[in-house]
Formats: sequence, structure tokens, C-alpha cells
Amino acid sequence: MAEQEKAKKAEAYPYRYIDDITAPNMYHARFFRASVDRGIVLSLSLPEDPPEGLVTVFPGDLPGGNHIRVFSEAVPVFAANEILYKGQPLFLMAAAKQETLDDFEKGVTLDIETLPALGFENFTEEQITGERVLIRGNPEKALGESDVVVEETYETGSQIHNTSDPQGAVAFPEGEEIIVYSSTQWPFHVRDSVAAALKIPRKSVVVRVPDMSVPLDAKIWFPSVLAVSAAAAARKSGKPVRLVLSREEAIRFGLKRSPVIFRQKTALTKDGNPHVQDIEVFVNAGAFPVLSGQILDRITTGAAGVYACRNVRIHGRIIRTSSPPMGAFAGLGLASAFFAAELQAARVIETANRDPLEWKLKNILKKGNALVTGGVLKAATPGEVLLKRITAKSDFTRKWAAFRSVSERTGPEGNSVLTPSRGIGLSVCFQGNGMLGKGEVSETFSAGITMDKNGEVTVLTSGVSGRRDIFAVWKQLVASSMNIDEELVSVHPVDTSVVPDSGPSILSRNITIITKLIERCCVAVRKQRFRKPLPIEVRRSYSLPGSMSWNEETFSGFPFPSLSWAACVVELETAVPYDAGSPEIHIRGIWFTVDCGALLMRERAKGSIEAGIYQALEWVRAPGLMGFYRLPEGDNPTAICLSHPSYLPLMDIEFLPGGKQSSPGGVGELPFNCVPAAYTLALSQALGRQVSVLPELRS
Amino acid sequence: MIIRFTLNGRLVAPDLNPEITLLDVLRQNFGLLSVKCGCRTGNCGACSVLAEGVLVPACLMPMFMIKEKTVLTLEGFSGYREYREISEGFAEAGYNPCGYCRPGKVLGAYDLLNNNPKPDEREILRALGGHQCRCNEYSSLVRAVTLISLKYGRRSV
Repeated sequence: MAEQEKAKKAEAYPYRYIDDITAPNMYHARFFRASVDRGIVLSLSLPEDPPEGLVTVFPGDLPGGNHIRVFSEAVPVFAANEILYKGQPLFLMAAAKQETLDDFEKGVTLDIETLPALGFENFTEEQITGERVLIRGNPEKALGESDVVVEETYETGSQIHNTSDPQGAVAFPEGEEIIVYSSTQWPFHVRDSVAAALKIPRKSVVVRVPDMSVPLDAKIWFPSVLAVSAAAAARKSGKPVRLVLSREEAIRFGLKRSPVIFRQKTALTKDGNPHVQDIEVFVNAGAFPVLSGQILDRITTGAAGVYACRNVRIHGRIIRTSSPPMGAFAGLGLASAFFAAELQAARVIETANRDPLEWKLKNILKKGNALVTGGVLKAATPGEVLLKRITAKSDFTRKWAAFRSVSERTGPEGNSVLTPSRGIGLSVCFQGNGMLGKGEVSETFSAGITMDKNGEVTVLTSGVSGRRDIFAVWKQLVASSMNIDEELVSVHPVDTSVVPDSGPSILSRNITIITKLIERCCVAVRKQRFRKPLPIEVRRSYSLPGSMSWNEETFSGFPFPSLSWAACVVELETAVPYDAGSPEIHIRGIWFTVDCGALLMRERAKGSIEAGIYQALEWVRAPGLMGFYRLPEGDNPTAICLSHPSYLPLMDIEFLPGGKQSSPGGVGELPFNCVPAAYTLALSQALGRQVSVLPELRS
Repeated sequence: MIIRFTLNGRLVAPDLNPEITLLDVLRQNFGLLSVKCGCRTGNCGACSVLAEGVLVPACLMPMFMIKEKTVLTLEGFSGYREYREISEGFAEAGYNPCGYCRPGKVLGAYDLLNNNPKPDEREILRALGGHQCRCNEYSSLVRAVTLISLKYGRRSV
């Protein structure tokens, strides 16, 4: 009867997220966290009579070392002696009841020598943990040749991932083995990290991935820290251990998008086109520079924007601070780069007194132009088509001129008491699909399929998805490629003892790499069908395209196997009078046009872009918290204005017919790369003054 | 304290702290995992259930308020004809929210259509826009609820 009841519940609700995983006799685990931004631990003492059964995990309980490795970086699991940020875990405690942990925690005493926190804006040389310098042409000489130089500083702020499902891990000791359920975008990294920290063979660790909501790159490496901690506690206690972070913990101490500062200097030709771009970039890495090298690399590829310029110098620095770890957010930094680049382009256009569309059409990267890394665009780019299409649909040119005329008439104070001020902004960007940055070249990306004796086909990959959409794409693809019924195709749940290592599910790689591998597997199975007996199993691995000219050492060539492009127009009006403390900004329209190559599922791609636009607007308009914690009690108009969809227009999202490239490209980063700049340019026009800080309401 | 209430059509009487939330009781005592723990502040909609036929956030409902009341979660609602109609409407409109926000949106759509059989776009967004999730794509949600409304008209429990 109980089993029937269980089955009925599972049928009604077939999902299992990390916080849904429970077991009899399970222990609950919690971090004991540092209370200061930075300091030295002088002493830490535990209650003399700890409750029976309670276990603690300290650095010394990790025989393989108190760290996980992310490419070349070692990230501490627990603060050993030095506290690097407020909230850094000092140790883990686990017990059968939460109340036991509450009582135990009260008895812990900690003596800390507090040190000054490491800031971002006023960093010192010692805080620089990495640099990237890229020079094209002769920027120094060319800078001296120009009479007009436009200089500006831009800032992009942090953003909290606030994923719907929590960060967490549940570990089950099974004899010599350990089974870890981890909400992760990189299952094999979890496996390898647990094996290394516990000093046990990799085959003794099995990682299973439950359902996940959209992770927005919050779950690349951080889940490995949780998994190592939970696994160590499980081995020590002999019990299943559940470590699930509370919403508050995740928001206060979890990962966030890296804030970035850009100092842009653009020298112009006599007719107002870019002659030199001299750009300084400062990336706030937080306490650990994990993935910061990759982030800085991608920022470098986008910092000069999508416009041709022969002379470029980019000097990027990674700054370690006392903030919680900073890193990726739906991409690795291109969004910040394009925000600054598009705003700088607008300043150049204003200085040169040119029409935005005409200037962009003239200067946008075209076939034969080189990217900032020197790689030449050998195929026609869709930039011009996108710009013409989106400006026609949104009536951009007429509105831009009309709004400017009104703004000029009313002056910089702009807003009359009777009429709202309007503004319109245009931006264009690309998304680099599958750049292989530092250390990733040695990573493997594999996928496989098996056809069993009943003719049923199973897709094997460790690629994970925020929704089950991609699984539907793969099932459809396999069914179509092998000419079988879709009912005969399934995607195996991610389990590292069964599926091959498909690498981290980031940068739209499920679409751009794993889907291609599955296609190749289908071809291989078709060739073997009726030549070999069933079952047939094939696996294929990804290698860099032979045609790709990319030199990671010199950072030169063409870094991306393919590019997806997008253009965006945002039209808005500000209420009267505009007051930054009580923003009343009404978005009147959002137009978004995309060229991402072949589309596998149009509606899904459209939905992904729409969700991305909401998230990108959140980054622009609020310091990171949409809904959950920003919304005060009641109908606070500010909060609702920021988040509630009934205050936003439905969006006009369009894909260019017959994309320029035949293989599918990603779309996930495009809203973040495009919308913030278009919105900010529209706001700047409406206000009659330059807005250069994102989010605009950072105070 | 023993608190009697009707859960998904069955009378139950757990012995518990009356100040514990309905969310915790549904998940921990009854294993009803469709009731998700999102924000614990009543803002995200992930823990939505119907209490006495009204959509409420279970995370803000202390158990003493549930005494002698009826509570319906997605697991219970899945036995209703309207559940199938809403699910089919979502699928037909190509609307596929993630499993974390789906239960709240299904119950929210039911609650909306019970009170307003022919909602317009703005009414749909006002009613369901509060279900905060990283997978949100509102145009499909509006399309789906409009489709259900047109196809099935008003329903009631």
C-alpha cells in the first residue's frame, strides 16, 4: 500500500531535486562560517562534551588535501588559518537533527585577529593575481595621430544567481564506495574532486545528478566543495549526509557574477570612426580567482566590441578581494565587455555627431575584418542584416531622432513635470560558442549511444540541463537520424559510473558540442546496424575543429568555433520627475533579433532568450535580487516595477531566416550581452545624461 | 498538538508543533515533494497549495491555521480532470516550466481560471507573474493559460 502511494506521488510529480533526496538515518550537515571579512584564526575550540553521534570535518579530515582543483587553481574547501571572506566555511558539522547542530554551534568559540578587508576600487599591486595584455597594430603611435579622444569609465556590478533549486550535495557511504548526489553542471569534476580529497580511487566515487533548475553557471565548480564536505562527513559518520545551503547562505556567501571596471579610451579618425582603442579592464575575482583567467580571456575578446579597429591595446587585471568568490553568470564575462563596448561606441557616435545606425553599419565587423585577437572573419557576418532588420521593426531611427530632439529642447534636466521623457537604445553583440580557454584543451567532451537487443536507444552523456528541453532535442535528433520512433529513445540519467565525461555544461556546449557528438554517434550506429549484432554501443569525443586557428599561448587567432549574433532595441520612458531613489521606468518595447545558425527547437530557443532578457534586465535594474528578498511586504511599487512581468511588455523575439551558419549555435548568453547596453542607452537618452554604471541603482 | 485537517481528500491528524509551517509538514511528514522550498518569504510561489480552495504560500502558513481546513497539493490535484486539462494546455502551447516552479504555476492557473474564466493577458500576468523562477518565459505562460481558458471554460472543484 505504501509503495502504491509512493508510486502515485511520483507519477503526479516525477521530479527529484537535490533538496528532495532523503534517506532513513540521514545526517544533516551545516558549515560553521567565518564572521569577519578577513583575518587569522588564532584559536578555535569546540564544546567539551559534543552530542553523541555528531561529527565534524576539518581540513585535517581530508587526506588528499584541503582543496579542490579547478584547472590550474586550487580552491580551499575550508579556511585553514587565514579567513579570506566573511562566511568562509571553517569546518562542517553533521548530526541526525538540526537542533543538535544549533546547540553545538552555540558552544563553539573562535578567536580571530581581524585584518583589513581587501577592496576592489582601491586595490594594491599585491591583489593582482593575473594579467592579460593584448596589442594589435600600433596603438601608441596611432593615439598620437588623433585629435579627438573619447575617454570614459564603465562599471558592471555583481549579480546573484538565486537559482530556483538550492546548492547542495547528499553523500551515501556504500562500503568502500561513496555515492554522491550533486546539483552540478560538471559531474566528473565532482567525482574527481571527491576522489582526490578523500584519497580514494575515482572508480570508488559515483556521482549522480538529480533534476536541476536553470543553473546560470552557479554550479560549475562550487558543487564540488559541497560534495567533498558531505562525502567526508559521510565517510566519518558512516551515515548518509545531506548538505543543502539555505537561500540566505547562498545569497550572502555564495558565488556571484564578477564585477568589472573598464577604462575606455577611443581615438577617432577625422570622420568619427574608431582609430585606436585603449582599454583597461579590472575583474573582481572575490576571494579566489577561480575561472577568473577564463573570464578575463573572454572579456578580452569582447572588450573592443563588434566594430573594426586596427589599433587596439587591452590590459586586463584580475583583482583578489575579500568578497565571496566571484565568477561566471550565464557566460564568462562577455556580457560585461559588450556593455562597456556598446556604451563607449555610443559616446563615440555622440562625439562624432553621427547617426547610430549609420555609424554601426559602417564600422561593424564584416567578412575580411579581424577580431581583436587577429582571427579573420572568413564568412559573411550577419551584423548588417541584424541591424537593418531590428531598426526597421522598432522604428529606431525615427524615434531616436525624435527623442533626441525633445531632449535637446528640454535640456539636461529633461523631465518636464507634464510629460515623461523617452529614450531608445540599440546594441549589437555576439556570443562565442565553445571557446576553449585556459586548461580546457585537455578536457574531454564525450558522448555515446547504445542500441539494445530490443532496438531501444539510450543516449549517454554527462551533459546536464536546467530543464528537460535539451533531452527532448536529443531524443528527437536520434529518432530522426536513426529513423525510429521517439518512444524508443531515452536519455540515461547522469551517473558517472555509466555515462561518459561530457565536460562542464557551460557556454551552450550541450547544443554546440554534445549535440554534434550525438549526431556522430547516430551515424556510427547506422553504419554498424545489421553488420554487427546488437547491442551496439558507440562513443565519440570532441576535438578542436581542424580549421580553427587558435593559439592559446599567444592569445591570437580565431578563438571560437562559431559565433551567434544578436541585436537589441529597448524603448523606455521615465516617470516624472525621475528620482534614482524611487525609479519609475516604464519599458515600452523590447526587440531582439538573432542569428544563431540552424535552430533545433525554435520555441525552446525563443523561451530561453525571453527568460534571459528578464534576467538581464534584473542585472541592469536591481543589485541582483529579483523578487525573493528585495520584495518587501505589500505592494511596494519600486519592487514590483523591478520584477513583475505585468509591468514589462511582451517581447518581439525574432530569428533571422536561414541563419548564416548551418550548425546550431548557442543563444543563452546573447540577452546578457545585448540587453543591458540597449536599456542603458535608452535610459541615458531619456535622462539626457550618460549612465555608465550597471546596475543603475547600485546604491 | 494534534492538528486534524484534510489533505488531498484524506483526513489526517499529525501530532506536531502548531507553529511549524505547512511547507515543512507537507514535505517532511507527508513526503509531498511537489511543494518546493523556494524563498520561505511567501514571494516566489514555489510552495503554493490550495487551502480551502484559495492559493496560499505554504511557507507562511503555521499549522495552527490549517486546523480543520482542506489542503490540496499537486499530488492530490493530479487526480482532477482540470489537472489534465491544464497540463495538456501547457504542452499544447509549448510551455514547459521547470519542475521547481511547475506545481505552483499549475495550481495558480487553476486558481485563476476558477475565479476568472476568461482572463486577458494582463490578468494572467498579474495572477501568475509572482511565480518567480529562473526559467520564466511569460509569453508562453500567457499563451498556455489563454488556450486553456478558451478550450475548457470555467471549471470548479
